[in-house]
Amino acid sequence: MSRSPYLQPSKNTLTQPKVALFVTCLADAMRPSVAFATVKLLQAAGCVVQVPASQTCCGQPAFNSGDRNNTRLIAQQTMAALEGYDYVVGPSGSCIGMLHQYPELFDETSKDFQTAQKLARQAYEITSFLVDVMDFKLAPNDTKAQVTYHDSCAGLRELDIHRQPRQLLAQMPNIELKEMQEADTCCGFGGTFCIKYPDISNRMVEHKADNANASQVQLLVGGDLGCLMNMAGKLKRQGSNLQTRHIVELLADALDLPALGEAHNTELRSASINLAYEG
Amino acid sequence: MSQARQQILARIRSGLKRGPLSPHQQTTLQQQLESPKRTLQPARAKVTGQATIDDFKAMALESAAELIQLDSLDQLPAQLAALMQQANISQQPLVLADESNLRSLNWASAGINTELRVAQNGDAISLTNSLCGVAETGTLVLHSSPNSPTSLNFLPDIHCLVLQQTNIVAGYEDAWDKVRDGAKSGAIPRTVNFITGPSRSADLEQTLRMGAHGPKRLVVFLL
Amino acid sequence: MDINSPDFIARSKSALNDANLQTALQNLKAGFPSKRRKAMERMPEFDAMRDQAVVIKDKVIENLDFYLETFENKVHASGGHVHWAQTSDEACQTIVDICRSVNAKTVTKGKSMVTEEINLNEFLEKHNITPIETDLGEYILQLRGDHPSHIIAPAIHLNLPQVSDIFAEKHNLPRKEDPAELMQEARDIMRDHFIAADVGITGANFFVAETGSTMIVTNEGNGDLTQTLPKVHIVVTSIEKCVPTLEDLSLFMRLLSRSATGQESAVYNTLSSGPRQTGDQDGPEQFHVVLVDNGRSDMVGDEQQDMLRCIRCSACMNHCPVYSQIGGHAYGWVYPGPMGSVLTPKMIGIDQAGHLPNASTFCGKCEAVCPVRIPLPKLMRTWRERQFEQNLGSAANRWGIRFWSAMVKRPKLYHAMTRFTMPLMKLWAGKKNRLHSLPIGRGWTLWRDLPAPEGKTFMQQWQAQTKQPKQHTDKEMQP
Repeated sequence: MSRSPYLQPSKNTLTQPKVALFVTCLADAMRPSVAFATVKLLQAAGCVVQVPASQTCCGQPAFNSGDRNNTRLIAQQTMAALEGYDYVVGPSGSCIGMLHQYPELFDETSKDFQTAQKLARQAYEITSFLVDVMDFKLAPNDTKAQVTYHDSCAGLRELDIHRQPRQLLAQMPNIELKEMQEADTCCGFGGTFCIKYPDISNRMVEHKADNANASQVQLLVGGDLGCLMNMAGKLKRQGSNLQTRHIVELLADALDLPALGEAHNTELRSASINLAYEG
Repeated sequence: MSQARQQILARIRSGLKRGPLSPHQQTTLQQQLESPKRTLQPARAKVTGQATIDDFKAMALESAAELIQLDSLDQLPAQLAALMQQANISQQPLVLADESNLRSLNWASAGINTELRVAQNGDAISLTNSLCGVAETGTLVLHSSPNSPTSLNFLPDIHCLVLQQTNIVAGYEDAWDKVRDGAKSGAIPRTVNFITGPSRSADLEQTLRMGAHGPKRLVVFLL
Repeated sequence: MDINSPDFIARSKSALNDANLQTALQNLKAGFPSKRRKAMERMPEFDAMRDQAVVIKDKVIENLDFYLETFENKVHASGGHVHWAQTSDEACQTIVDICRSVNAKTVTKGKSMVTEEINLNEFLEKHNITPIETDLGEYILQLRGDHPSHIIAPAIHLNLPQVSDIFAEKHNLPRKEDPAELMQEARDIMRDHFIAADVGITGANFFVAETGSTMIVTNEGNGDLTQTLPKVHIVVTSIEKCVPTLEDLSLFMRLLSRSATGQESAVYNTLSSGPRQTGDQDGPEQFHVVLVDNGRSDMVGDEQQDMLRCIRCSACMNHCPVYSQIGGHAYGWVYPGPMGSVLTPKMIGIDQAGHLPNASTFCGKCEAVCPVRIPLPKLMRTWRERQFEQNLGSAANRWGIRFWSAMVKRPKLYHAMTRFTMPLMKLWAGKKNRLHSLPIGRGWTLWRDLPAPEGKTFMQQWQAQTKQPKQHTDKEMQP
């Protein structure tokens, strides 16, 4: 959980960089619109995006459960799938952070180690990629909302993601960012932690929900679906009106589907913030 | 327990995948201990000139020590008499370190009863010298000696000490150098105290209060 | 201390429901982290000093045999004694033997987590020697038959009325509520003990190889009265607390106080070197250092070696989002929080302490604030790896993870499975678009809803979109 030694972002100089989308298992299964929004942003930034078909999971569940053997096998498979691109980009600090840990899985004299290092140097979370590598300017977007941002732990501590999402939000003229208390405190998801220690996890997400509600915004955004589903699930169980989305949904204007766990979609475009539900 | 010693050292060495260090390696490490080098010091531990004194005063006050400036040591008895009166302990003895500069002052004229001994339970106030002050945190450095038993620094309710301004150094390392310099036959004193303010505790509902077991007040007479 | 770590889940549950404890933990969360941050801001070299601290500590560990032998020689040269103890029992027996040799009836104790680790008080009492804790927090706990829940603020889980109650009960004095009066009462009572004690036992925050000295860091001055007044001073320290020189000690003095309580300096940083010297009017006649191993030499050269850098500052637990919900007693033994989750399995066995390295989200805040940059989440993970290999812990979890891994290693099967199950989940969630209960992973829906999946998976949609007939042009890769 320390800053990845492979995180050395430098400005892209290629005209049409070839980017492999690392979908992430959560985006693939639960919320594809996040992956589509990511593709849209990458293309708008001038990238050629491909989606390697044999990717499944970064291996973090196995890794954090102590199953090093399977982690290695999954890593080898993932590395093979992601070979041959200029960059690998995904909508999750946690999953990309896991890719940055692949070198640790292999003996330093092995070929896998070399491959893993190469991949780690190319692997970026989407907001960090857009800001630190592509110097991306968002297309004009009149979406209007007050939002608060949750800093997911892995992205923050392994990949230095903090400034970049805020910089991108700042490019949207009608988005007002209001920081909540303890924005960078863990939401209590932690992979299997929330299943194994549900009472402790619940208390942590309760605090997070309290802080989010207290910021008095319409929208909670973040960069990691695990955290977002955890927080949205709690907010909805509490009956809170606060809605939760992945930041790329906002940045890419991919607001067709309701926010996480919402029955209806909420218009975020009208002149006044309107929480009336549409059909 | 020499068997324990052997086994612990053996386990350490086996963990490091080696036997004992070679004589050359040992000599290198030994030399480093004999000529210690300063590590990274913060800027506040390297101040010079007036900044040293100003920093010391500011930090000492921040630590809730009391600072009383004197022009000369002769003023000390009267100052102490005033302090003792304010604290309602004029009748109590002042337990004194057996140092010539303190012993020779005119205590009688100030109406102060002095006793030269170790501190005891119930002592209200003591007076000692100090080796030096440290600017970086407003710390006073004292050490045990035949004339200045350590209990004087801890048992009495009020601990007063004399600090020469010329003995204010910038950082802890400077203080340790002074400790080493003062050590005869290479042995540093049994107890060296770095004292920063009066005793305190936050063990009662995390609120800070002065006067746990050490002195409730630390009074520095600055010359 | 009794071992209660296997009961982690029950203990953490009761901690979550303990209103008094929750208030105390709120105070901790509001206090220590912001104080540390302020102290850091006042010393801009802080991060660079952490890097230097890592270098020094790693060097000590790599040469630990040399530094221990050098330290021992220096202690002997100053007229002190060094005793080596591999286990808790050996350490306790050594200490009892020293006490017996001077017919000690009572011993005063400065705060020492190592003495909790080796269960010293119980051992002393069994041999008719009365230990008296002198640190205010430890004293209150001793009166209550309680144990520390934090490594530097041991009674942090107690509130003022609880202190008033126990003082009134045990001191046979009228009940006081004013904290200043309570502190005065403790001060008065403890003074008699300080004076009467035959032996004083302290820990050591550090010991210095250059001079054969030990250092204790306190705010109360209790450690100083403990190490000065009695005839015998025994220092109980673990073997890795060594720093090479007084210069190195200075660096650690600066890091410790700021990392622990956010203080610029603890009130008393005291260096003890040997027994009293010729002409000294006070100070102990005998100086003993008991070097305790208890599993630490095993960690040298091991994948968990970095844990030996720990200076016991408590920054990790002060910033831990899990500790700040459940407090220290839930961890069930001497060392709580992140550092406890790495050390406890080493000392009492992973079979007993299995929950501790698992009850973490790996948020990494601990590592971020550790003054000696210990990779605590990584070290906790190594315990999870050992558990997995040894088939310890929840079988359901292990098989769940094996199943998941088996699926994701087979992309075609995996994608087919998700294509099949996601629409079912969406259907089950219905119009509300979220699930209120689940047949597996019930821990989730116990407390929160699960947002429903969209239905079709991304890979499914992407492959459909990019499956264009061959006649199409270069729009193939872009839907």
